[in-house]
Parts: sequence; C-alpha cells; structure tokens
Amino acid sequence: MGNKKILLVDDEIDILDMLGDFLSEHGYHVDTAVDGIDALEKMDKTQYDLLLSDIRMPRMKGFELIREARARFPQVKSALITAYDVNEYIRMARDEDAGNIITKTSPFNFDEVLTVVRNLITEDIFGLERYLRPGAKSDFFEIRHSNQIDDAIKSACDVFADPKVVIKFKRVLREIVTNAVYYGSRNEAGDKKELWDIDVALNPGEYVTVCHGQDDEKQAVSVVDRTGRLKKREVLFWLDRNISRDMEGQPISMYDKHGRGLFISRESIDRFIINIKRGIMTEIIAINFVGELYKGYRPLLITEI
Amino acid sequence: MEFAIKSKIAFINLPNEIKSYLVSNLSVDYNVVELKDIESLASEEPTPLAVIVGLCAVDWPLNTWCERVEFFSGGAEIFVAGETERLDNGKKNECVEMQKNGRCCFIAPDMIHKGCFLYNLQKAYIIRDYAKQISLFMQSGGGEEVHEELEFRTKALLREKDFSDNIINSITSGLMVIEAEGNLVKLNNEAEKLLNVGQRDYLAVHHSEVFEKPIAEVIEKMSMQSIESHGRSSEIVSISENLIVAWTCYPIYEPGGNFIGTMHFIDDVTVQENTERQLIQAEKLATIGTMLSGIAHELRNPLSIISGRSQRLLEKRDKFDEWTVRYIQSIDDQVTRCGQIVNNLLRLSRKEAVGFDYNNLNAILDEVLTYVDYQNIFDRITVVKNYASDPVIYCNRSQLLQVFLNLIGNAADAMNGQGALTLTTADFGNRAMISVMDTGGGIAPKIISKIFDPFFTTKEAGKGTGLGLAIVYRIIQQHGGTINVRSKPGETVFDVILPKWRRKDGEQKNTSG
Repeated sequence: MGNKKILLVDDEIDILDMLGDFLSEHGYHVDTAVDGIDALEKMDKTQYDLLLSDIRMPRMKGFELIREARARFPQVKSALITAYDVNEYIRMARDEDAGNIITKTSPFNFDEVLTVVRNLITEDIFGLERYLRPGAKSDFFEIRHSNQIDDAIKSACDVFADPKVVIKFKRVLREIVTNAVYYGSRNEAGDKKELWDIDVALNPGEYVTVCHGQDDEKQAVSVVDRTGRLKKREVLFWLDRNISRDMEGQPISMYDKHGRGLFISRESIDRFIINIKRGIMTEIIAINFVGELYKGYRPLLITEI
Repeated sequence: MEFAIKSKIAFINLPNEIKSYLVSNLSVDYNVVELKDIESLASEEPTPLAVIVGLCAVDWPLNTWCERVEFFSGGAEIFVAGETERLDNGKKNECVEMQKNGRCCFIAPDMIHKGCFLYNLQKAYIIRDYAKQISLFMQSGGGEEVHEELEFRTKALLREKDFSDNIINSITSGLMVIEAEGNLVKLNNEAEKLLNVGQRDYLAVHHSEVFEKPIAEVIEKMSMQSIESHGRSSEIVSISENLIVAWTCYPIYEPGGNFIGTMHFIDDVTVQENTERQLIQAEKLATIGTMLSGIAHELRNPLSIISGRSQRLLEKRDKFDEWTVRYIQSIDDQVTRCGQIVNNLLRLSRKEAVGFDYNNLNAILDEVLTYVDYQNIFDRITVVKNYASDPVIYCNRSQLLQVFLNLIGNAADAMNGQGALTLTTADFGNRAMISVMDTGGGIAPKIISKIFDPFFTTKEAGKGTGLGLAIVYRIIQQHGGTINVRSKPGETVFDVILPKWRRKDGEQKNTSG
C-alpha cells in the first residue's frame, strides 16, 4: 500500500513546514511547492493522492492550479486552504466545483485539516465520530415517520447544557431534517412546499438518522439520509446564489422564493459539513465550537464521492 | 408739518461734559432746560418728558427718591447719569432693583457718548412724545384738521411699530438686539424660546445677568468678533446639552458711524448637526474599516503559523521542562487572543447585506434574552417588556441579535448586575423603534459623544476591546437606521430606529467598509 502522498502548495514557507511536519507525523509522505507552476512540475514526476494548495499565490492562483491538475491528473484529489474570506471565493468554488476550502485560523485547526485529508484520500467520509475526539460521547435517533421529526430534533439538542447552543442547533436541524425527510427521502420539489404531503411514513431504506455528540472542544449534530439525492453542484450553486452580490450589492437570491435553507444553516453554525455519496447517502453535520474557538472565516467542507 | 412745541427734558446736577454733549445733541428735537434741584421740577410748565439727574444729586434710599422725582415732575422718565461702580454694594443693589422695576434708568457716562442713550431715548419715547404733543396741541386750541392729522400720524406710527414687531416675531430665527453696553434691548419670541428667558427677565438688563455662563460667553465672543471685523461673525455653538445653534452676529451703527449695539440671529440646528455627526461617524468607520481590514488580513497568515507552532509544541509537552511548557503555553494563549482581536476587526469591515429577511423584533429581543438568561450577571436584574404588537421589519436577524446582545450586555454591566432593564418596541408606520433602558450610573456628558467611536471603552484594559458599540453603529447604519443615546444617572436609554420595509432599487445596499 505504501504511504499516501500529499503535495502541499503555499508561497508561505512556514506553512509548508508546519503542515508538512504535521501530516508526515500522521503517516503521509509530504512534498512541498511554493507555487502552482512548481507544483505541476512535481505532479508530472510523482503521482500524488492529494493536492492541498493555498489560494492566493503569485504566478498562479489556487483555483487555476486545481483546474490544471484535475485536467492533467484526474485521479488526484484536491482541496484548497486560505487565510482569507472563503465566501469571497464561492463563485470560483462553484465554477471549479471545488468543495473543500480549509481556513487558516489562530488557533489553527489541525484536526480539521487531518479529517479533510483523510476523507479525501480514503474516500471513507461518513460518520460523526470522525469529527469528534476519541472517547467522545455520541448517540442517534432514527426517524421512521414524519411525525417523529420534532422528537428527533429534541433528542439531539437537549443533551447540550448551553441553551444558546441548543437554540442554534434546533434552528439548523429544523431546516436540514425537514429537507432530509421531504427532499431527500421523499424527493419533494423545493419550490412547491405548499403541495407537500406533510404526514408521511418512510420506507426502511429511507429512514433518516439524527446523531449528536460532544467532546471538550465542540458539540456536533448530524443528519443522514440514505438516498444521496443532494448534489455538490447544487449546494455550491445555492450557496453562491445567496452569497454573491449583484451590481447593487444585493444577494442574487434576493427575490428567490426558496433555496436559502443551506445558506442560512451554514451562516448559523461554526461548521457546516456536507458529505455525499451519490445515490447512496447524504450526511450533513453541524458543529459548534466551545468558547469561540477557531472563529474566523467559515471553511467550505463539501465532499462528494 | 412742523410742531412749534417740543417736548421738554430737564437736567439736574449733571457734570459739565455730559451736559454739553446732551445739550448739543438733544436740543435739536427737544426743549432742554437746566434746573438746580428736584423741587424746581414742580414749577415747570409743561412738565418734562424726562429728567436726567447726576448721580451726586441722588438721595438714598433710592425708591423714596424716585417717588419724589416722580411727584415733582408729574411722572417724567428718570435717568441717572453717573458711575455706579464706586457705590457700595447696598446702594448698587438698590440701583439694580430700581432699574429692574422700571422706576429709573442708570446710564454710565461712556454709554452716553456712544449714543446708546440717545438711541434708547428716541426709540422708546418717540411715540409717547407724539401722544403728548397731541394733547398739548389740543390744549392750546388747535384746529380740527390738525387734530385729525395728528391722530392719523399717531395711528400710522403705532401701526408701523406693530408691523415691525410682527415682522420681528415672525422670522423663524431667534433675533436679539443688545446695546453697546451689553444690556438687552429686544428679543423676539423665537429667541426667548431658544435662550429660555421671559420678557420680564431681560429688558434693559445686562446679558451677563440674564444668561448663564455658556450663553453669556458666546454673546461676548460673537459681539467682540463682529465689532473687530466691522461685519458679520458666524459660528455653530452648543448652548446647552441638547441644543446646537447657528449663531450670527452683526454690529449696529447709527447714521453718524457710532457703534451702538449688536444684533444676533440664532437658529436651532440641532437636528442637522446630529445628522452630520452621524454621517461623519459613518465615514470615519468606513475608512477605519477599510484600513483595519487590510491589516487584519495580512495578520491572518502569520498568526495561524505562530499558533500552529505553539499548538504543535504543546502536543509534545512531555519532551520539555516545566518552564519551557509554561512559556509555550503563554505564547499559545496570547496568539489565540490576537486571533480573536483580528476576528473582531474584520467583523467591523465586513460587507454584509446577506441574510436580510422579515423578522419579528419582539422575537429577536426574546432570543437575546434567552442567551443572557443563564449569565450570572442577569440573576438580579428585572426585565420589563413594553412590546408593541409584532413589529416586523426587514433586517438581518443575526446582526440585530448581535446589536441587542451588545446593548443588553452593556446595560447589565452598567447596572452591576442589579436594577431594571426595560425593553420597548414601537411601531411608527414606516419605521420601528427599539429602546433599551437601564437604571445604571449613566454615561458622563463629556464622553457620551464618543461612545460609538471604535476603540473607545470605559472598561478596564483587557475587558472589552471597545469595538462593541462601533459594530452596533455600523450594523444599524447598514440597515438604514439610526441609534441615539440619552443618559442621566439612574437612567440610560439607547433608541434604535429602523426602517420596516425593504427599500426598492437597491437602496438598502451595504455601504462598503
């Protein structure tokens, strides 16, 4: 099997050293490059499993690099990392179909980098425990009928001591669970909410699972549906629509009648993670960090396999 | 038509130079006589219009003396010429008293020379003069036509006086006329309102005795400036806590060229000034925002590196001695703190019009209350809610949550955890208002204008960066609203006014920061 190979690209040498060191320690073989051109040359000579690149670099920007890399080396996974506002890049992310943009914060979230790297390389992406420290407590609730939605949300949130956190998660879960039950499992069209059949029993293959867990650093909830209908392209489309502005500074989605759910959920919580295996499973995870840890710009963490 | 009979003015015991000045100026229009004492007044026929007495001839107590003069002169106007400064305090007070009551008028010698006295005399008495002349003429057997003519002229004159009084009171500016010596001559209604005086208080009284220091000083300053420049002097001044005025002063000269007084126009510009201040504030914030955003961005990379390094070192703390670990921990703590500061800075300049939607204000306030409910500082605070029924406005919910979290948090701090927090919402058609009131110690007048400045804080070093209210201000501004604060010990109120509707044509856009 051998060590998995990662190519780190950043014009900031200290980042290369620090991240490279960290990833090596976790068993990866790490090469570094200071810009895109350099990186592509290296990729010519070595087959990497993952390309992890900064966005703002002289000569070639991160998005350009991953576009080139995907064209020339399609089997190489890619992710971006930045110190700047991820939302500013949402249009480019949509255009390049780039779902993972990690942020550099102080404190630095090493766990998150490791999780993204692992997920992309192994393609083993599902499971809330991935985002929790070892030994963390977690539990789940299986929704078999739409009338269980409220109970599911309650069971997930009430374990958390902090009422502020409970409110945040409830808000997000209401959106995601409803989506999972109706869009995901039932494939209802989003723009015809008034026609939805509210009271539905789900078939065994359609059960929606709501999980929750916490460690000393965070609280987390997740919603899993087993139909995998959500598409990464769609998510990026709707996020971009709500984030990008038109000439007057209004979000493009200003007059849209729907499509804000994902955006609002993402804005409401510290981390909003979407994992998709097309046609098989969709997992949406919401994380709240204790004590404002890792605050800064929100990363983009959407993985589709 | 000329009058053969002129009104009489009597002089008694005047110093020579005053006497000669008055004689030369007054004898054109008046019949001037010199008497040796008060009693001689009784034998004057007709009785004089006015009597000007030298200060040395005055007897004390003053009111008794005035009575005598009035008795002997048949009700003439009494003027006393002389330097009252050298009198003892008791006598000085009597002079002020008599002047206030209108029994007699004191004129200092230099005022006489400036012509103020003449101006006053003529202005005040011209009508009485005519009236008296009519009766005198009648007594001497004048014809019907003359009588009618006189009546007509008097009416015309009175109408003129009323008319000019009307004009003066109709102008929307406050108008105040002060004679050279500093005594108030005329205030129109608006001026009385703005300066908070009633007519009884000020006629012929020195401005320093009528007004408090701030206004008296402004009058001195503006008068001086206009005199020195022989022209207009204009300034915006704050004359009380909530009143800012545009003050314009002109010097007044009589035809001969002598300076006789000043004319002051006062306009209330409090609203415009406050709006301007808010605009300037907004600009300041926008500029600072851009600057800070640039700096903050640059800091992100280095900070994440330092933090990453310290974290990794701490992962391996077993390799180091205690002293080293302590040092690394300290670096880690401080750089985390830097990260928080940078986050706050970036929030100031973030362009955020996203997330606008219709929200119920009461619900937003209630949500904030649930957030703070568990905090210890709120344990002994009573919350009073005066909610209007469901004010729904177009707003960014998460930003408004931030705003009220900040205001309510500040309120709790101000009350030191004990007191009443009153939350009021109100619906005003196109706008809604939310007020947050606390019963804390209040905000001192001299800092209240600074509280929205970025980095201004009254909290001790390390507790609060002073950015809270600046961010609040920014958010309200981005909503197209306004925020005002009123404070006195025991009661501080923040009023937030927000437009209810989404504006058309992109009016409610974010202004870039």
